[in-house]
Amino acid sequence: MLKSDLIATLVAKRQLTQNQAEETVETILNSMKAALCKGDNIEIRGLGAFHVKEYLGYNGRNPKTGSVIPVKPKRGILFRTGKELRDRVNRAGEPAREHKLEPAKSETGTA
Amino acid sequence: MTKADVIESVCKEVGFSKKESAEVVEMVFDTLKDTLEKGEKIKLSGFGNFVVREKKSRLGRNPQTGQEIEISARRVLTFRPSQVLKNALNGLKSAE
Repeated sequence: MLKSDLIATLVAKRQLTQNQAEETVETILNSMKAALCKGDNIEIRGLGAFHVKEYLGYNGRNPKTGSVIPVKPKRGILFRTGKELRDRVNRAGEPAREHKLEPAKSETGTA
Repeated sequence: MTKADVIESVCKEVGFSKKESAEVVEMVFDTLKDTLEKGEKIKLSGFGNFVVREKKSRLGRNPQTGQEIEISARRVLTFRPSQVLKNALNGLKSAE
Protein backbone atom coordinates (compact mmCIF):
# COMPACT_ATOMS: atom_id res chain seq x y z
CA MET A 1 0.00 0.00 0.00
CA LEU A 2 1.28 3.41 -0.97
CA LYS A 3 0.43 6.83 0.41
CA SER A 4 -1.83 7.35 -2.61
CA ASP A 5 -3.77 4.18 -1.76
CA LEU A 6 -4.27 5.42 1.77
CA ILE A 7 -5.60 8.71 0.41
CA ALA A 8 -7.91 6.85 -1.98
CA THR A 9 -9.30 4.88 0.97
CA LEU A 10 -10.24 8.09 2.78
CA VAL A 11 -11.94 9.42 -0.34
CA ALA A 12 -13.89 6.21 -0.81
CA LYS A 13 -14.85 5.48 2.78
CA ARG A 14 -15.37 8.93 4.27
CA GLN A 15 -16.41 10.93 1.23
CA LEU A 16 -13.53 13.39 1.65
CA THR A 17 -12.46 15.30 -1.43
CA GLN A 18 -9.16 14.27 -2.95
CA ASN A 19 -7.61 17.49 -1.62
CA GLN A 20 -8.91 17.02 1.91
CA ALA A 21 -7.70 13.44 1.99
CA GLU A 22 -4.26 14.39 0.72
CA GLU A 23 -4.00 17.23 3.20
CA THR A 24 -5.09 15.00 6.06
CA VAL A 25 -2.55 12.29 5.34
CA GLU A 26 0.24 14.83 4.83
CA THR A 27 -0.69 16.61 8.06
CA ILE A 28 -0.61 13.38 10.03
CA LEU A 29 2.78 12.39 8.66
CA ASN A 30 4.23 15.88 8.97
CA SER A 31 3.11 16.30 12.56
CA MET A 32 4.68 12.95 13.42
CA LYS A 33 7.83 13.91 11.59
CA ALA A 34 8.01 17.27 13.37
CA ALA A 35 7.63 15.60 16.75
CA LEU A 36 10.41 13.12 16.01
CA CYS A 37 12.68 15.91 14.77
CA LYS A 38 12.13 17.73 18.07
CA GLY A 39 13.33 14.56 19.77
CA ASP A 40 9.83 13.65 20.99
CA ASN A 41 8.76 10.05 21.11
CA ILE A 42 5.44 9.06 19.57
CA GLU A 43 3.04 6.52 20.94
CA ILE A 44 0.00 5.53 18.92
CA ARG A 45 -2.05 3.06 20.93
CA GLY A 46 -2.65 -0.15 19.05
CA LEU A 47 -0.18 0.69 16.30
CA GLY A 48 3.14 1.18 18.02
CA ALA A 49 5.68 3.61 19.36
CA PHE A 50 8.46 5.51 17.66
CA HIS A 51 11.48 6.36 19.77
CA VAL A 52 14.27 8.71 18.86
CA LYS A 53 17.61 7.20 19.73
CA GLU A 54 20.78 9.21 20.06
CA TYR A 55 23.86 7.39 18.82
CA LEU A 56 27.31 8.44 19.98
CA GLY A 57 30.02 9.11 17.46
CA TYR A 58 32.73 6.53 17.00
CA ASN A 59 35.77 5.86 14.89
CA GLY A 60 34.90 3.72 11.92
CA ARG A 61 37.04 2.44 9.12
CA ASN A 62 36.82 2.57 5.40
CA PRO A 63 36.59 -1.16 4.68
CA LYS A 64 38.36 -0.72 1.37
CA THR A 65 41.40 1.25 2.47
CA GLY A 66 41.41 0.57 6.21
CA SER A 67 41.80 4.25 7.03
CA VAL A 68 40.19 5.51 10.21
CA ILE A 69 37.19 7.77 9.72
CA PRO A 70 35.38 9.50 12.55
CA VAL A 71 31.63 8.78 12.48
CA LYS A 72 29.67 11.69 13.89
CA PRO A 73 26.96 11.31 16.54
CA LYS A 74 23.56 10.82 14.95
CA ARG A 75 19.93 10.16 15.72
CA GLY A 76 17.89 7.24 14.52
CA ILE A 77 14.36 5.95 14.98
CA LEU A 78 13.37 2.78 16.74
CA PHE A 79 9.86 1.45 16.15
CA ARG A 80 8.24 -0.92 18.56
CA THR A 81 5.02 -2.56 17.39
CA GLY A 82 2.04 -2.14 19.70
CA LYS A 83 0.52 -5.16 21.36
CA GLU A 84 -2.71 -5.13 19.35
CA LEU A 85 -0.96 -4.90 16.00
CA ARG A 86 1.78 -7.36 16.96
CA ASP A 87 -0.87 -9.95 17.77
CA ARG A 88 -2.91 -9.21 14.68
CA VAL A 89 0.09 -9.46 12.36
CA ASN A 90 1.27 -12.66 13.97
CA ARG A 91 -2.12 -14.32 14.24
CA ALA A 92 -2.73 -13.83 10.54
CA GLY A 93 0.47 -15.84 9.98
CA GLU A 94 -0.73 -18.81 12.01
CA PRO A 95 0.00 -21.42 9.30
CA ALA A 96 3.70 -20.76 9.84
CA ARG A 97 3.36 -22.52 13.17
CA GLU A 98 2.90 -26.07 11.88
CA HIS A 99 5.93 -27.72 13.49
CA LYS A 100 5.51 -30.13 16.38
CA LEU A 101 1.80 -29.57 16.71
CA GLU A 102 0.53 -31.94 14.06
CA PRO A 103 3.29 -34.18 12.73
CA ALA A 104 0.71 -36.32 10.92
CA LYS A 105 -0.43 -33.47 8.73
CA SER A 106 2.34 -33.82 6.15
CA GLU A 107 1.02 -37.20 5.00
CA THR A 108 -1.73 -35.55 3.08
CA GLY A 109 0.82 -33.77 0.93
CA THR A 110 -0.17 -30.47 -0.58
CA ALA A 111 -3.90 -31.10 -0.23
CA MET B 1 3.19 12.72 21.16
CA THR B 2 0.03 10.66 21.22
CA LYS B 3 -2.93 10.17 18.93
CA ALA B 4 -4.65 13.16 20.56
CA ASP B 5 -1.85 15.45 19.33
CA VAL B 6 -2.13 14.05 15.81
CA ILE B 7 -5.88 14.70 15.89
CA GLU B 8 -5.22 18.23 17.13
CA SER B 9 -2.91 18.90 14.16
CA VAL B 10 -5.46 17.64 11.67
CA CYS B 11 -8.15 19.76 13.33
CA LYS B 12 -5.98 22.88 13.08
CA GLU B 13 -4.35 22.37 9.68
CA VAL B 14 -7.15 20.79 7.69
CA GLY B 15 -9.98 22.57 9.47
CA PHE B 16 -12.14 19.55 10.33
CA SER B 17 -14.15 19.55 13.53
CA LYS B 18 -12.65 17.79 16.52
CA LYS B 19 -14.97 14.85 16.01
CA GLU B 20 -14.36 14.57 12.28
CA SER B 21 -10.60 14.84 12.82
CA ALA B 22 -10.66 12.08 15.40
CA GLU B 23 -12.65 9.81 13.10
CA VAL B 24 -10.45 10.45 10.08
CA VAL B 25 -7.22 9.91 12.03
CA GLU B 26 -8.68 6.73 13.49
CA MET B 27 -9.52 5.55 9.99
CA VAL B 28 -5.99 6.23 8.76
CA PHE B 29 -4.42 4.17 11.54
CA ASP B 30 -7.05 1.44 11.19
CA THR B 31 -6.37 1.23 7.46
CA LEU B 32 -2.65 0.88 8.15
CA LYS B 33 -3.31 -1.86 10.71
CA ASP B 34 -5.73 -3.77 8.49
CA THR B 35 -3.24 -3.68 5.63
CA LEU B 36 -0.34 -4.89 7.76
CA GLU B 37 -2.49 -7.62 9.26
CA LYS B 38 -2.93 -8.99 5.76
CA GLY B 39 0.85 -9.13 5.48
CA GLU B 40 0.98 -6.34 2.95
CA LYS B 41 3.73 -3.75 3.21
CA ILE B 42 3.13 -0.02 3.43
CA LYS B 43 5.30 2.58 1.77
CA LEU B 44 4.82 6.16 2.87
CA SER B 45 7.17 8.27 0.81
CA GLY B 46 9.07 10.81 2.86
CA PHE B 47 8.29 8.91 6.04
CA GLY B 48 9.21 5.25 5.82
CA ASN B 49 8.16 1.70 5.08
CA PHE B 50 6.36 -0.80 7.27
CA VAL B 51 7.17 -4.37 6.31
CA VAL B 52 5.83 -7.65 7.71
CA ARG B 53 8.60 -10.21 7.93
CA GLU B 54 8.37 -13.96 8.37
CA LYS B 55 10.69 -15.28 11.04
CA LYS B 56 11.61 -18.95 11.18
CA SER B 57 11.54 -20.76 14.49
CA ARG B 58 14.86 -20.71 16.31
CA LEU B 59 16.42 -21.71 19.56
CA GLY B 60 16.56 -19.11 22.25
CA ARG B 61 17.49 -19.14 25.87
CA ASN B 62 15.72 -18.04 28.98
CA PRO B 63 18.21 -15.42 30.16
CA GLN B 64 17.24 -16.03 33.76
CA THR B 65 17.64 -19.80 33.91
CA GLY B 66 19.85 -20.43 30.91
CA GLN B 67 17.38 -23.04 29.73
CA GLU B 68 17.10 -23.51 25.97
CA ILE B 69 13.67 -22.99 24.51
CA GLU B 70 12.30 -22.95 21.01
CA ILE B 71 11.08 -19.59 19.77
CA SER B 72 8.21 -20.39 17.43
CA ALA B 73 8.00 -19.17 13.85
CA ARG B 74 6.22 -15.84 13.72
CA ARG B 75 5.48 -12.77 11.72
CA VAL B 76 6.85 -9.48 12.93
CA LEU B 77 6.44 -5.91 11.81
CA THR B 78 9.46 -3.73 11.08
CA PHE B 79 9.61 -0.04 10.31
CA ARG B 80 12.39 1.48 8.24
CA PRO B 81 12.49 5.26 8.26
CA SER B 82 13.03 6.83 4.85
CA GLN B 83 16.27 8.63 4.04
CA VAL B 84 14.31 11.89 4.01
CA LEU B 85 13.13 11.33 7.58
CA LYS B 86 16.58 10.24 8.74
CA ASN B 87 18.11 13.36 7.25
CA ALA B 88 15.47 15.61 8.79
CA LEU B 89 16.08 13.97 12.15
CA ASN B 90 19.74 14.87 11.91
CA GLY B 91 19.14 18.39 10.71
CA LEU B 92 20.35 17.71 7.18
CA LYS B 93 18.70 18.92 4.03
CA SER B 94 17.47 16.14 1.77
CA ALA B 95 18.74 15.88 -1.77
CA GLU B 96 15.27 16.59 -3.13
